[in-house]
Amino acid sequence: MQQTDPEIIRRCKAGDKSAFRTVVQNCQGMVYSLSLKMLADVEEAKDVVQDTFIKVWQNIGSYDERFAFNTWVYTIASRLCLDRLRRVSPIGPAADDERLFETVADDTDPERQLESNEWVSVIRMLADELSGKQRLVFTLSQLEGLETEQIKEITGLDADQIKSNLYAAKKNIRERLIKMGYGKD
Amino acid sequence: MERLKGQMPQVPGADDLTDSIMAAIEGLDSGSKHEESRHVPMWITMLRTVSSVAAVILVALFIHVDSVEEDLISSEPANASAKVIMPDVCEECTPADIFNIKRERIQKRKEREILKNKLYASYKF
Repeated sequence: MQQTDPEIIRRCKAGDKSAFRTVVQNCQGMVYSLSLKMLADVEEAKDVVQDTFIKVWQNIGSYDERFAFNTWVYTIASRLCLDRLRRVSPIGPAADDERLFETVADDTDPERQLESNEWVSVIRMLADELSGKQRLVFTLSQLEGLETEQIKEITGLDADQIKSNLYAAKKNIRERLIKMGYGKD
Repeated sequence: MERLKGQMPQVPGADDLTDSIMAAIEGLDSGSKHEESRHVPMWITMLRTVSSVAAVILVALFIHVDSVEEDLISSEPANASAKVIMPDVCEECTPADIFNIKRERIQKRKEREILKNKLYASYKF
């Protein structure tokens, strides 16, 4: 996970908006990535990015510099995503999602970067039946590639809870992939 | 799944999103400044509270005094008549004495009337 310069954070705490713009530019990609993978909706994800940075600005005075800034931002974003998932049920997969998912799954290029709409289709196809916590743990661990320690800080779950949620999420996704004819890979 | 790990989708319209976030923050700050400008100083708030309490106490006092006065007025006639019929100075008076006292009072009242008339007459010149 990319880290933010502590000096910039100190300037933000002092109310420097140009410093905060730098923070937004540096961190909006990771917040958007998490929100898109959690919510499977581009506009909802952009809304969460905006809400996250508003909360970051409002609460930056209470940010403890002993902890990683980006982890703190991830924590705010993940809570906002869980709130949205509680309020609005995620949209299930459509025919278009199935087609896009097949395109991504059949592509053998290991360097290929997925577009936002492809991510939406992949998440709708794979994570449609996951609970909010399972979705969050799966996204942070398997899609964002974070370490268990970071996931513990972000979610507030202990190692066993993370393990059990991840196990349940993987099991569900594996079963879905088998149903779709993708074998055990 | 391994292929997807760590991939970060591009933010569509990243600059516009940054601008909208900064505009929202500007809006928040101007909103809070507006709130601050509307903030009433502590001493005015205290003054308002004290004057409100004083007003309530005054009204309560007026009501209390009014009711006490009503009580006094309602109890006055009995005392007044007691004084006339049986004044303290004349507890052992005979009916003849009371008659004399009344006659003296009438006489004095008449004298006061005469004096008053003389006074009014002197003002005419």
